[in-house]
Amino acid sequence: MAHDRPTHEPSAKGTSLMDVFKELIKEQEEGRPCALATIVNAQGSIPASNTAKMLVREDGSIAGTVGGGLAEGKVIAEAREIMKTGTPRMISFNLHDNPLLDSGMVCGGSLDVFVEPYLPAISLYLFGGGHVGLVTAEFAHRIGYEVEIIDDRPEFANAERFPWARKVHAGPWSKTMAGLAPNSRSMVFIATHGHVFDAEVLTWAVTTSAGYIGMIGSKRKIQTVRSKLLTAGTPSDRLNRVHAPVGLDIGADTPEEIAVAVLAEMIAHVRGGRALKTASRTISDLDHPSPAATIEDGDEDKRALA
Amino acid sequence: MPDQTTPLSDTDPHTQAQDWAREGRSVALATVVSTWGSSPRPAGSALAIDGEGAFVGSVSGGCIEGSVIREALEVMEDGAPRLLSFSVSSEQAWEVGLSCGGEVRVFVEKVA
Repeated sequence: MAHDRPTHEPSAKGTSLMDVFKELIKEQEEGRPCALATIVNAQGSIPASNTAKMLVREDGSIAGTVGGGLAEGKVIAEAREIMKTGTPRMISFNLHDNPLLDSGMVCGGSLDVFVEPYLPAISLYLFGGGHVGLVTAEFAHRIGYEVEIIDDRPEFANAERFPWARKVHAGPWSKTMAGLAPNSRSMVFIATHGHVFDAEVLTWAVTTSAGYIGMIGSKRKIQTVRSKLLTAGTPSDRLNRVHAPVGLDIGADTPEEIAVAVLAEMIAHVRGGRALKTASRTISDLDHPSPAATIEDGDEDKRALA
Repeated sequence: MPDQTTPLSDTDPHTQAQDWAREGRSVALATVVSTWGSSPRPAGSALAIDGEGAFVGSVSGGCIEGSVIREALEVMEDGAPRLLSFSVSSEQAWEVGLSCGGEVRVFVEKVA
């Protein structure tokens, strides 16, 4: 092996195609991103073309092979980028022009390797199963996010109300939160039936790795919750990333409109959309208004709808 | 895996390929590996095909599926993967609702 990254196999030789798929499924079940590289075209002769597949794990370790050598090292490096960007790519090598890349598998021809990312599902932890929660959860599910509903009221958090949810948690907030571990591909949306609960959930949410945190409420309510958390010892830099007022600034009013604004903000977060800079607001804007936050914000509280 | 998982969609081609393989059927997977700007399906889009020619997923707006399935049946026969290239003319593209055509390359492999 020309690369110095760790491998889980002592030797990639003898890894069957099925082993590569099994390893891929294992990574997916563990919730880790990985990428699959396949030789799709080779000018020259390649032995065992049926098994010319390689799984690249998040840490750069591999299962299977695309021929070894410098070309494989390059594929591994590209695969790690592709796990981050989420965009599949074809990597082409002209081995005639770059004999150093030749592993001996293809003699002086060209080699095309297709690398596709397998990313863990995006999960949404939705706190509050009320009107806004119900519609937001439904839209989120339609978009393809895996949704978990959390509420302390069993009548608002049950499998009949959210039949397609990955999980529904009914019970005391703190008890439920202790069992949840959002990762960087998770999003947290807070729309409970009380400011006190929102504050309790937010205190927990900012300590997690969740990639997106949004909390419903007017500017006045957000100020109140923020001061409360700061007084209780939550560092301000942790609070600054919280999206509040939540959702893109499109003047949403009804639960359905709010859900659209919130999901649009989440999509912008997931996809790196430009709207996140121009039409999304965070708690830090309370001190330093962003272009989006300078637009006059209605101060009516949407809590009645939550 | 969480115990109450709902599949994102029952028509996910990779999941379908896995299910077919478990049932002991022959399965081929076709994957778009390169395409042009405004193509109907991006790189990474997949189509699962079983030995009977049943298929799930899509690799184009419907223009090339027929040919891909025919090739997939051959791939299942001889086991050799192949890279297919299709040129979609601007005229054909217009008919399926695209402003212009281009070339799409599809990799077809036997997975079970």
